[in-house]
Amino acid sequence: MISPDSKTADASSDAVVRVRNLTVELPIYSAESRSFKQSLLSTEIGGRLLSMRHGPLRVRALTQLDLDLRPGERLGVMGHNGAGKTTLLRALAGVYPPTQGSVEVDGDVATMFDIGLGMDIEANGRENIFLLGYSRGLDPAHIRSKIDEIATFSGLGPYLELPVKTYSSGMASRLAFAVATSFQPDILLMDEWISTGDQDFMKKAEARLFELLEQSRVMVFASHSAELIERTCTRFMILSHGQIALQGPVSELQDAIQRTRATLEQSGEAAQ
Amino acid sequence: MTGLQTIAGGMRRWRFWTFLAWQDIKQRYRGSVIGPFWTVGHLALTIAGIGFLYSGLMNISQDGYFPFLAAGLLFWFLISSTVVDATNAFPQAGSILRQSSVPPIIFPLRIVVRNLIVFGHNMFVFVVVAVIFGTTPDPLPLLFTFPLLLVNLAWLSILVALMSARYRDLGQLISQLMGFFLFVTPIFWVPSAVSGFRSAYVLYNPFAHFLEIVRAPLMGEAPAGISIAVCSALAVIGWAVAVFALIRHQRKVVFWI
Repeated sequence: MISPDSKTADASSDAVVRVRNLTVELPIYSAESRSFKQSLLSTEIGGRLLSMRHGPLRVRALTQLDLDLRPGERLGVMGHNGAGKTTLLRALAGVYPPTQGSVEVDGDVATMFDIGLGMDIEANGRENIFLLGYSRGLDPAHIRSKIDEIATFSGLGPYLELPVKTYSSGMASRLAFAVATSFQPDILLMDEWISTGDQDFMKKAEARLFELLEQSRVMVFASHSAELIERTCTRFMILSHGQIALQGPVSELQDAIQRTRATLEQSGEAAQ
Repeated sequence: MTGLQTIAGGMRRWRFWTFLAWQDIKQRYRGSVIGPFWTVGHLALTIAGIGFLYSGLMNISQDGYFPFLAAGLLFWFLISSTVVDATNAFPQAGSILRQSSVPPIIFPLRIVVRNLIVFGHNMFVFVVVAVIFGTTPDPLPLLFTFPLLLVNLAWLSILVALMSARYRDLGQLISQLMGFFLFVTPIFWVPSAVSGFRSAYVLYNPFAHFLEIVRAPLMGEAPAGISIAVCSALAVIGWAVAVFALIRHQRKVVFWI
Protein backbone atom coordinates (compact mmCIF):
# COMPACT_ATOMS: atom_id res chain seq x y z
CA MET A 1 0.00 0.00 0.00
CA ILE A 2 2.73 2.46 -0.83
CA SER A 3 1.64 5.23 -3.10
CA PRO A 4 3.90 6.16 -6.00
CA ASP A 5 6.50 8.71 -5.06
CA SER A 6 6.45 11.94 -6.90
CA LYS A 7 9.36 14.28 -6.97
CA THR A 8 8.12 16.87 -9.37
CA ALA A 9 5.03 19.00 -9.43
CA ASP A 10 3.60 17.76 -12.72
CA ALA A 11 -0.16 17.21 -12.36
CA SER A 12 -0.99 19.30 -9.32
CA SER A 13 -4.75 19.13 -9.71
CA ASP A 14 -5.14 16.16 -7.37
CA ALA A 15 -2.77 17.61 -4.76
CA VAL A 16 -4.21 18.23 -1.31
CA VAL A 17 -1.46 20.67 -0.43
CA ARG A 18 -0.27 23.18 -3.01
CA VAL A 19 2.49 25.58 -2.15
CA ARG A 20 3.68 27.98 -4.82
CA ASN A 21 6.67 30.26 -4.63
CA LEU A 22 6.24 30.56 -0.88
CA THR A 23 8.32 33.15 0.93
CA VAL A 24 7.74 33.73 4.62
CA GLU A 25 9.32 36.62 6.46
CA LEU A 26 8.96 36.80 10.20
CA PRO A 27 8.88 40.30 11.66
CA ILE A 28 10.73 40.51 14.94
CA TYR A 29 9.18 43.11 17.16
CA SER A 30 12.01 44.01 19.47
CA ALA A 31 11.36 45.62 22.82
CA GLU A 32 12.04 49.05 21.35
CA SER A 33 9.86 48.85 18.27
CA ARG A 34 7.02 47.26 20.20
CA SER A 35 6.76 50.01 22.75
CA PHE A 36 4.21 52.65 21.93
CA LYS A 37 6.23 55.29 23.75
CA GLN A 38 9.24 54.58 21.59
CA SER A 39 7.35 54.98 18.34
CA LEU A 40 5.68 58.09 19.65
CA LEU A 41 9.04 59.55 20.64
CA SER A 42 10.78 58.53 17.47
CA THR A 43 8.07 60.06 15.28
CA GLU A 44 8.29 63.24 17.25
CA ILE A 45 12.03 63.49 17.31
CA GLY A 46 13.00 61.84 14.07
CA GLY A 47 9.98 63.08 12.17
CA ARG A 48 10.19 60.06 9.90
CA LEU A 49 7.61 57.50 9.12
CA LEU A 50 8.01 54.46 11.30
CA SER A 51 7.47 52.06 8.48
CA MET A 52 10.38 53.53 6.57
CA ARG A 53 13.00 53.58 9.20
CA HIS A 54 11.86 51.89 12.33
CA GLY A 55 9.92 49.00 10.87
CA PRO A 56 10.44 45.66 12.55
CA LEU A 57 13.48 43.61 11.74
CA ARG A 58 12.49 40.91 9.29
CA VAL A 59 13.91 37.44 9.13
CA ARG A 60 13.39 35.52 5.92
CA ALA A 61 12.59 32.01 7.07
CA LEU A 62 11.46 30.46 3.78
CA THR A 63 12.40 31.50 0.26
CA GLN A 64 10.44 30.68 -2.88
CA LEU A 65 9.41 27.20 -1.90
CA ASP A 66 7.21 24.96 -4.05
CA LEU A 67 5.52 21.85 -2.77
CA ASP A 68 2.72 19.51 -3.84
CA LEU A 69 1.38 16.74 -1.67
CA ARG A 70 -1.09 14.17 -2.98
CA PRO A 71 -3.35 11.90 -0.95
CA GLY A 72 -1.36 9.23 0.86
CA GLU A 73 1.92 11.08 0.76
CA ARG A 74 3.97 11.50 3.89
CA LEU A 75 6.69 14.08 3.73
CA GLY A 76 9.61 14.06 6.15
CA VAL A 77 11.30 17.44 6.51
CA MET A 78 14.89 17.55 7.68
CA GLY A 79 17.35 20.37 8.18
CA HIS A 80 19.39 22.13 10.79
CA ASN A 81 17.86 24.20 13.52
CA GLY A 82 16.67 27.40 11.92
CA ALA A 83 16.53 25.86 8.43
CA GLY A 84 12.82 26.65 8.22
CA LYS A 85 11.17 23.35 9.19
CA THR A 86 8.86 24.79 11.81
CA THR A 87 8.10 27.85 9.69
CA LEU A 88 7.07 25.56 6.84
CA LEU A 89 4.76 23.61 9.15
CA ARG A 90 3.24 26.79 10.55
CA ALA A 91 2.75 28.23 7.07
CA LEU A 92 0.99 25.00 6.03
CA ALA A 93 -1.19 25.24 9.16
CA GLY A 94 -2.18 28.80 8.24
CA VAL A 95 -0.56 30.21 11.36
CA TYR A 96 2.01 32.26 9.44
CA PRO A 97 0.71 34.21 6.45
CA PRO A 98 2.80 34.00 3.26
CA THR A 99 4.84 37.12 2.59
CA GLN A 100 4.83 36.12 -1.07
CA GLY A 101 3.38 33.20 -2.96
CA SER A 102 0.51 31.02 -1.87
CA VAL A 103 -0.40 28.09 0.33
CA GLU A 104 -3.51 26.11 -0.54
CA VAL A 105 -4.60 23.30 1.73
CA ASP A 106 -7.78 21.31 1.10
CA GLY A 107 -9.26 19.83 4.22
CA ASP A 108 -9.05 19.67 7.96
CA VAL A 109 -5.59 20.30 9.41
CA ALA A 110 -4.37 18.85 12.70
CA THR A 111 -1.13 20.14 14.17
CA MET A 112 1.25 18.86 16.80
CA PHE A 113 4.02 21.37 17.19
CA ASP A 114 5.38 21.74 20.70
CA ILE A 115 4.19 19.66 23.60
CA GLY A 116 1.56 21.57 25.46
CA LEU A 117 1.12 24.17 22.76
CA GLY A 118 -2.57 24.73 22.33
CA MET A 119 -3.29 23.20 25.73
CA ASP A 120 -4.22 24.85 29.00
CA ILE A 121 -2.16 23.12 31.66
CA GLU A 122 -4.46 24.27 34.46
CA ALA A 123 -7.44 22.58 32.84
CA ASN A 124 -7.94 18.83 33.00
CA GLY A 125 -7.42 16.35 30.17
CA ARG A 126 -11.08 16.24 29.18
CA GLU A 127 -11.31 20.04 28.97
CA ASN A 128 -8.16 20.09 26.87
CA ILE A 129 -9.72 17.62 24.43
CA PHE A 130 -12.48 20.19 23.96
CA LEU A 131 -10.00 23.04 23.74
CA LEU A 132 -7.97 21.30 21.02
CA GLY A 133 -11.13 20.20 19.24
CA TYR A 134 -12.62 23.70 19.22
CA SER A 135 -9.30 25.12 18.00
CA ARG A 136 -9.70 22.86 14.99
CA GLY A 137 -13.22 24.10 14.40
CA LEU A 138 -14.99 20.90 15.47
CA ASP A 139 -18.43 20.97 17.05
CA PRO A 140 -19.00 19.80 20.63
CA ALA A 141 -21.06 16.73 19.72
CA HIS A 142 -18.26 15.46 17.48
CA ILE A 143 -15.68 16.11 20.21
CA ARG A 144 -17.79 14.39 22.88
CA SER A 145 -18.25 11.30 20.70
CA LYS A 146 -14.49 10.72 20.62
CA ILE A 147 -13.64 11.21 24.28
CA ASP A 148 -13.83 7.52 25.20
CA GLU A 149 -11.73 6.56 22.23
CA ILE A 150 -9.12 9.18 23.15
CA ALA A 151 -9.11 8.01 26.78
CA THR A 152 -8.46 4.44 25.66
CA PHE A 153 -5.94 5.16 22.93
CA SER A 154 -3.89 7.57 25.01
CA GLY A 155 -4.04 5.13 27.93
CA LEU A 156 -4.90 8.09 30.16
CA GLY A 157 -8.31 6.79 31.25
CA PRO A 158 -9.20 8.30 34.64
CA TYR A 159 -6.23 10.70 34.42
CA LEU A 160 -8.32 12.76 31.99
CA GLU A 161 -10.02 14.22 35.07
CA LEU A 162 -6.70 15.59 36.39
CA PRO A 163 -5.13 18.91 35.38
CA VAL A 164 -2.66 18.57 32.52
CA LYS A 165 0.00 20.28 34.65
CA THR A 166 0.17 17.08 36.71
CA TYR A 167 0.96 14.99 33.58
CA SER A 168 4.42 13.83 32.60
CA SER A 169 5.58 15.13 29.21
CA GLY A 170 4.95 11.66 27.79
CA MET A 171 1.35 11.70 29.02
CA ALA A 172 0.79 15.17 27.58
CA SER A 173 2.16 14.16 24.21
CA ARG A 174 0.06 11.02 24.18
CA LEU A 175 -3.02 13.15 24.78
CA ALA A 176 -2.07 15.59 22.01
CA PHE A 177 -1.36 12.76 19.59
CA ALA A 178 -4.60 10.96 20.44
CA VAL A 179 -6.61 14.15 19.91
CA ALA A 180 -4.82 15.08 16.69
CA THR A 181 -5.40 11.67 15.12
CA SER A 182 -8.80 10.69 16.56
CA PHE A 183 -10.66 13.34 14.63
CA GLN A 184 -9.27 11.98 11.36
CA PRO A 185 -7.53 15.02 9.93
CA ASP A 186 -7.01 15.32 6.20
CA ILE A 187 -3.59 16.81 6.82
CA LEU A 188 -1.46 16.04 9.84
CA LEU A 189 1.45 18.35 10.65
CA MET A 190 3.94 17.19 13.26
CA ASP A 191 7.05 18.73 14.68
CA GLU A 192 9.54 16.20 16.00
CA TRP A 193 8.26 15.27 19.40
CA ILE A 194 6.29 12.16 18.44
CA SER A 195 9.39 10.36 19.69
CA THR A 196 8.78 11.44 23.30
CA GLY A 197 6.27 8.71 24.09
CA ASP A 198 7.43 5.35 25.46
CA GLN A 199 8.19 2.36 23.20
CA ASP A 200 4.76 0.77 23.47
CA PHE A 201 3.01 4.01 22.69
CA MET A 202 5.37 4.71 19.78
CA LYS A 203 4.31 1.41 18.20
CA LYS A 204 0.63 2.24 18.70
CA ALA A 205 1.20 5.73 17.32
CA GLU A 206 2.94 4.45 14.22
CA ALA A 207 0.22 1.88 13.62
CA ARG A 208 -2.38 4.59 13.86
CA LEU A 209 -0.48 6.89 11.50
CA PHE A 210 -0.38 4.18 8.85
CA GLU A 211 -4.05 3.50 9.41
CA LEU A 212 -4.81 7.19 8.87
CA LEU A 213 -2.69 7.35 5.79
CA GLU A 214 -4.39 4.37 4.25
CA GLN A 215 -7.44 6.58 4.10
CA SER A 216 -5.54 8.83 1.69
CA ARG A 217 -4.43 11.41 4.18
CA VAL A 218 -1.37 13.59 4.06
CA MET A 219 1.30 14.04 6.68
CA VAL A 220 4.19 16.44 7.00
CA PHE A 221 6.66 15.48 9.67
CA ALA A 222 9.68 17.56 10.67
CA SER A 223 12.42 15.57 12.35
CA HIS A 224 16.14 15.26 12.86
CA SER A 225 15.85 11.48 12.77
CA ALA A 226 16.51 10.05 9.31
CA GLU A 227 15.65 6.62 10.64
CA LEU A 228 12.18 7.77 11.77
CA ILE A 229 11.55 9.51 8.46
CA GLU A 230 12.57 6.43 6.49
CA ARG A 231 10.20 4.32 8.52
CA THR A 232 7.16 6.60 8.43
CA CYS A 233 7.42 8.75 5.29
CA THR A 234 7.26 8.31 1.55
CA ARG A 235 9.15 11.46 0.60
CA PHE A 236 11.81 13.57 2.18
CA MET A 237 12.87 17.19 1.89
CA ILE A 238 16.05 18.69 3.27
CA LEU A 239 15.77 22.39 4.00
CA SER A 240 18.76 24.65 4.21
CA HIS A 241 18.50 28.38 4.91
CA GLY A 242 14.81 28.36 4.06
CA GLN A 243 15.25 26.68 0.70
CA ILE A 244 14.90 23.13 -0.53
CA ALA A 245 18.41 21.68 -0.65
CA LEU A 246 17.36 18.20 -1.69
CA GLN A 247 14.16 16.21 -2.03
CA GLY A 248 13.04 12.85 -3.30
CA PRO A 249 11.59 9.48 -2.33
CA VAL A 250 12.78 8.14 1.04
CA SER A 251 14.68 5.37 -0.73
CA GLU A 252 17.16 8.06 -1.73
CA LEU A 253 17.37 9.63 1.71
CA GLN A 254 20.52 7.88 2.93
CA ASP A 255 22.26 8.83 -0.25
CA ALA A 256 21.13 12.42 0.13
CA ILE A 257 22.32 12.58 3.71
CA GLN A 258 25.77 11.32 2.70
CA ARG A 259 25.95 13.96 0.04
CA THR A 260 24.78 16.71 2.40
CA ARG A 261 27.36 15.66 4.95
CA ALA A 262 30.04 15.74 2.30
CA THR A 263 28.96 19.18 1.21
CA LEU A 264 28.92 20.37 4.79
CA GLU A 265 32.38 19.00 5.44
CA GLN A 266 33.67 20.68 2.33
CA SER A 267 32.13 24.01 3.27
CA GLY A 268 33.48 23.50 6.79
CA GLU A 269 36.97 23.04 5.39
CA ALA A 270 36.48 26.00 3.12
CA ALA A 271 35.54 28.09 6.11
CA GLN A 272 38.75 27.10 7.83
CA MET B 1 -10.28 33.02 2.96
CA THR B 2 -10.73 36.75 2.89
CA GLY B 3 -10.33 38.82 6.03
CA LEU B 4 -14.07 39.33 6.30
CA GLN B 5 -14.74 35.59 6.06
CA THR B 6 -12.22 34.98 8.83
CA ILE B 7 -14.05 37.48 11.06
CA ALA B 8 -17.47 36.00 10.26
CA GLY B 9 -16.10 32.49 10.81
CA GLY B 10 -14.75 33.52 14.20
CA MET B 11 -18.08 35.01 15.24
CA ARG B 12 -19.90 31.86 14.17
CA ARG B 13 -17.66 29.79 16.42
CA TRP B 14 -19.45 31.17 19.47
CA ARG B 15 -19.24 27.79 21.17
CA PHE B 16 -15.47 28.16 21.18
CA TRP B 17 -15.39 31.62 22.75
CA THR B 18 -18.06 30.83 25.29
CA PHE B 19 -16.17 27.62 26.15
CA LEU B 20 -12.98 29.62 26.70
CA ALA B 21 -14.87 32.14 28.84
CA TRP B 22 -16.30 29.39 31.04
CA GLN B 23 -12.85 27.85 31.34
CA ASP B 24 -11.62 31.22 32.63
CA ILE B 25 -14.36 31.27 35.26
CA LYS B 26 -13.68 27.67 36.29
CA GLN B 27 -10.07 28.69 36.64
CA ARG B 28 -11.08 31.35 39.17
CA TYR B 29 -13.02 28.81 41.18
CA ARG B 30 -10.13 26.33 41.19
CA GLY B 31 -8.24 26.34 44.46
CA SER B 32 -10.43 29.16 45.70
CA VAL B 33 -13.40 28.67 47.98
CA ILE B 34 -15.48 31.53 46.63
CA GLY B 35 -13.86 32.15 43.21
CA PRO B 36 -15.52 35.05 41.35
CA PHE B 37 -17.45 35.94 44.49
CA TRP B 38 -14.34 37.86 45.44
CA THR B 39 -15.46 40.56 42.99
CA VAL B 40 -18.94 40.35 44.50
CA GLY B 41 -17.44 41.06 47.90
CA HIS B 42 -15.34 43.88 46.43
CA LEU B 43 -18.45 45.41 44.89
CA ALA B 44 -20.51 45.09 48.06
CA LEU B 45 -17.77 46.65 50.17
CA THR B 46 -17.30 49.55 47.73
CA ILE B 47 -21.03 50.27 47.69
CA ALA B 48 -21.31 50.18 51.46
CA GLY B 49 -18.18 52.25 52.04
CA ILE B 50 -18.80 54.90 49.40
CA GLY B 51 -22.58 54.95 49.87
CA PHE B 52 -22.63 56.17 53.45
CA LEU B 53 -19.81 58.64 52.90
CA TYR B 54 -20.81 60.27 49.59
CA SER B 55 -24.55 60.47 50.29
CA GLY B 56 -23.56 62.64 53.28
CA LEU B 57 -20.93 64.63 51.35
CA MET B 58 -23.32 65.42 48.54
CA ASN B 59 -26.29 65.76 50.80
CA ILE B 60 -28.53 63.29 48.93
CA SER B 61 -30.93 60.79 50.43
CA GLN B 62 -29.50 57.33 50.95
CA ASP B 63 -32.64 55.74 49.51
CA GLY B 64 -31.90 57.21 46.11
CA TYR B 65 -28.12 57.21 46.25
CA PHE B 66 -27.48 53.56 47.16
CA PRO B 67 -29.38 52.00 44.23
CA PHE B 68 -27.81 54.60 41.89
CA LEU B 69 -24.34 53.74 43.15
CA ALA B 70 -24.96 49.98 43.09
CA ALA B 71 -26.31 50.02 39.53
CA GLY B 72 -23.50 52.31 38.35
CA LEU B 73 -20.73 50.24 39.89
CA LEU B 74 -22.31 46.99 38.70
CA PHE B 75 -22.10 48.11 35.08
CA TRP B 76 -18.82 49.93 35.57
CA PHE B 77 -17.18 46.71 36.78
CA LEU B 78 -18.44 45.04 33.59
CA ILE B 79 -17.17 47.81 31.29
CA SER B 80 -13.87 48.47 32.96
CA SER B 81 -12.83 44.87 33.57
CA THR B 82 -13.71 44.00 29.96
CA VAL B 83 -11.42 46.78 28.73
CA VAL B 84 -8.63 45.89 31.17
CA ASP B 85 -8.84 42.15 30.40
CA ALA B 86 -8.86 42.90 26.66
CA THR B 87 -5.34 44.34 26.92
CA ASN B 88 -4.16 40.76 27.53
CA ALA B 89 -6.56 38.95 25.17
CA PHE B 90 -3.99 37.91 22.56
CA PRO B 91 -0.93 37.22 24.72
CA GLN B 92 -3.15 35.00 26.86
CA ALA B 93 -4.15 33.05 23.74
CA GLY B 94 -0.57 32.71 22.48
CA SER B 95 -0.41 28.95 22.75
CA ILE B 96 -3.57 28.54 20.67
CA LEU B 97 -2.64 31.16 18.08
CA ARG B 98 0.78 29.62 17.49
CA GLN B 99 -0.62 26.12 17.12
CA SER B 100 -3.49 26.51 14.71
CA SER B 101 -5.15 28.93 12.36
CA VAL B 102 -7.85 30.41 14.56
CA PRO B 103 -9.72 33.65 13.77
CA PRO B 104 -8.26 36.15 16.28
CA ILE B 105 -11.65 37.83 16.91
CA ILE B 106 -12.50 34.80 19.07
CA PHE B 107 -10.27 36.03 21.89
CA PRO B 108 -11.64 39.57 22.46
CA LEU B 109 -15.15 38.08 22.30
CA ARG B 110 -14.16 35.56 24.93
CA ILE B 111 -13.20 38.48 27.17
CA VAL B 112 -16.68 39.99 26.83
CA VAL B 113 -18.38 36.69 27.67
CA ARG B 114 -16.06 36.06 30.61
CA ASN B 115 -16.95 39.42 32.12
CA LEU B 116 -20.62 38.87 31.38
CA ILE B 117 -20.47 35.74 33.56
CA VAL B 118 -18.79 37.71 36.36
CA PHE B 119 -21.49 40.35 35.89
CA GLY B 120 -24.05 37.61 36.53
CA HIS B 121 -22.43 37.04 39.93
CA ASN B 122 -22.37 40.76 40.69
CA MET B 123 -26.08 41.16 39.91
CA PHE B 124 -26.69 39.58 43.28
CA VAL B 125 -25.37 42.71 45.06
CA PHE B 126 -27.68 45.01 43.13
CA VAL B 127 -30.70 42.82 43.90
CA VAL B 128 -29.92 43.01 47.61
CA VAL B 129 -29.48 46.82 47.48
CA ALA B 130 -32.69 47.23 45.44
CA VAL B 131 -34.64 45.17 47.96
CA ILE B 132 -33.24 47.07 50.95
CA PHE B 133 -33.93 50.51 49.48
CA GLY B 134 -37.16 49.60 47.73
CA THR B 135 -36.18 50.35 44.13
CA THR B 136 -38.36 48.98 41.36
CA PRO B 137 -36.40 48.50 38.13
CA ASP B 138 -38.06 48.81 34.75
CA PRO B 139 -36.48 45.87 32.91
CA LEU B 140 -38.20 46.33 29.55
CA PRO B 141 -35.76 48.89 28.01
CA LEU B 142 -32.89 46.65 29.10
CA LEU B 143 -33.93 44.11 26.49
CA PHE B 144 -32.60 46.60 23.96
CA THR B 145 -30.08 48.65 25.90
CA PHE B 146 -28.14 45.81 27.53
CA PRO B 147 -27.40 44.06 24.21
CA LEU B 148 -26.48 47.51 22.86
CA LEU B 149 -23.95 47.89 25.67
CA LEU B 150 -22.51 44.42 24.92
CA VAL B 151 -22.20 45.22 21.22
CA ASN B 152 -20.22 48.32 22.19
CA LEU B 153 -18.05 46.35 24.61
CA ALA B 154 -17.27 43.86 21.83
CA TRP B 155 -15.75 46.40 19.43
CA LEU B 156 -13.98 48.10 22.30
CA SER B 157 -12.52 44.76 23.34
CA ILE B 158 -11.35 44.00 19.79
CA LEU B 159 -9.62 47.35 19.34
CA VAL B 160 -8.05 47.36 22.79
CA ALA B 161 -6.82 43.78 22.25
CA LEU B 162 -5.24 44.62 18.89
CA MET B 163 -3.59 47.84 20.06
CA SER B 164 -2.29 46.37 23.29
CA ALA B 165 -0.84 43.33 21.55
CA ARG B 166 1.01 45.53 19.08
CA TYR B 167 2.15 48.15 21.60
CA ARG B 168 2.76 46.68 25.01
CA ASP B 169 2.88 50.04 26.81
CA LEU B 170 -0.55 50.90 25.49
CA GLY B 171 -2.04 48.07 27.52
CA GLN B 172 -0.66 49.62 30.69
CA LEU B 173 -1.89 53.05 29.65
CA ILE B 174 -5.40 51.78 28.92
CA SER B 175 -5.62 50.00 32.27
CA GLN B 176 -4.69 53.22 34.03
CA LEU B 177 -7.12 55.26 31.94
CA MET B 178 -9.95 53.10 33.23
CA GLY B 179 -8.98 54.10 36.76
CA PHE B 180 -9.20 57.73 35.64
CA PHE B 181 -12.61 57.26 34.03
CA LEU B 182 -13.97 55.74 37.24
CA PHE B 183 -13.77 59.22 38.75
CA VAL B 184 -14.76 61.44 35.82
CA THR B 185 -17.77 59.30 34.87
CA PRO B 186 -20.99 59.76 36.85
CA ILE B 187 -20.75 56.68 39.04
CA PHE B 188 -20.08 58.15 42.49
CA TRP B 189 -21.68 61.48 41.61
CA VAL B 190 -25.03 62.06 39.98
CA PRO B 191 -25.06 63.59 36.47
CA SER B 192 -27.63 66.22 37.49
CA ALA B 193 -25.12 67.65 40.00
CA VAL B 194 -22.91 69.07 37.24
CA SER B 195 -23.64 72.20 35.24
CA GLY B 196 -21.84 74.66 33.01
CA PHE B 197 -18.56 73.48 31.50
CA ARG B 198 -18.58 70.48 33.82
CA SER B 199 -21.51 68.99 31.93
CA ALA B 200 -18.88 68.03 29.33
CA TYR B 201 -17.91 65.25 31.73
CA VAL B 202 -21.28 63.69 31.05
CA LEU B 203 -21.93 64.82 27.49
CA TYR B 204 -18.60 63.96 25.85
CA ASN B 205 -17.76 60.90 27.88
CA PRO B 206 -18.77 57.71 26.05
CA PHE B 207 -18.67 55.75 29.28
CA ALA B 208 -21.29 58.09 30.78
CA HIS B 209 -23.60 57.20 27.90
CA PHE B 210 -22.83 53.48 28.18
CA LEU B 211 -23.81 53.66 31.84
CA GLU B 212 -26.90 55.79 31.35
CA ILE B 213 -28.65 53.40 28.96
CA VAL B 214 -28.43 50.46 31.37
CA ARG B 215 -28.46 52.19 34.75
CA ALA B 216 -31.61 54.26 34.21
CA PRO B 217 -33.85 51.20 33.63
CA LEU B 218 -32.48 49.59 36.80
CA MET B 219 -33.48 52.74 38.67
CA GLY B 220 -36.96 52.50 37.15
CA GLU B 221 -36.34 55.46 34.82
CA ALA B 222 -36.32 55.81 31.06
CA PRO B 223 -32.80 56.10 29.59
CA ALA B 224 -31.98 59.47 28.02
CA GLY B 225 -32.66 59.54 24.29
CA ILE B 226 -29.35 61.22 23.57
CA SER B 227 -27.48 58.38 25.30
CA ILE B 228 -29.27 55.73 23.28
CA ALA B 229 -28.46 57.69 20.13
CA VAL B 230 -24.80 58.08 21.08
CA CYS B 231 -24.45 54.40 21.98
CA SER B 232 -26.12 53.30 18.75
CA ALA B 233 -23.86 55.55 16.71
CA LEU B 234 -20.79 54.36 18.60
CA ALA B 235 -21.79 50.73 18.00
CA VAL B 236 -21.89 51.29 14.24
CA ILE B 237 -18.72 53.37 14.06
CA GLY B 238 -16.85 51.20 16.54
CA TRP B 239 -17.65 47.98 14.72
CA ALA B 240 -16.70 49.52 11.39
CA VAL B 241 -13.31 50.51 12.77
CA ALA B 242 -12.87 47.15 14.55
CA VAL B 243 -13.65 45.15 11.40
CA PHE B 244 -11.34 47.36 9.36
CA ALA B 245 -8.54 46.92 11.92
CA LEU B 246 -9.06 43.16 12.01
CA ILE B 247 -8.99 42.85 8.24
CA ARG B 248 -5.73 44.77 8.14
CA HIS B 249 -3.99 43.23 11.10
CA GLN B 250 -5.50 39.91 12.17
CA ARG B 251 -2.95 37.77 10.33
CA LYS B 252 -0.11 39.65 12.02
CA VAL B 253 -1.38 39.06 15.55
CA VAL B 254 0.64 35.83 15.81
CA PHE B 255 3.83 37.87 15.33
CA TRP B 256 2.90 40.32 18.08
CA ILE B 257 2.48 37.88 20.92
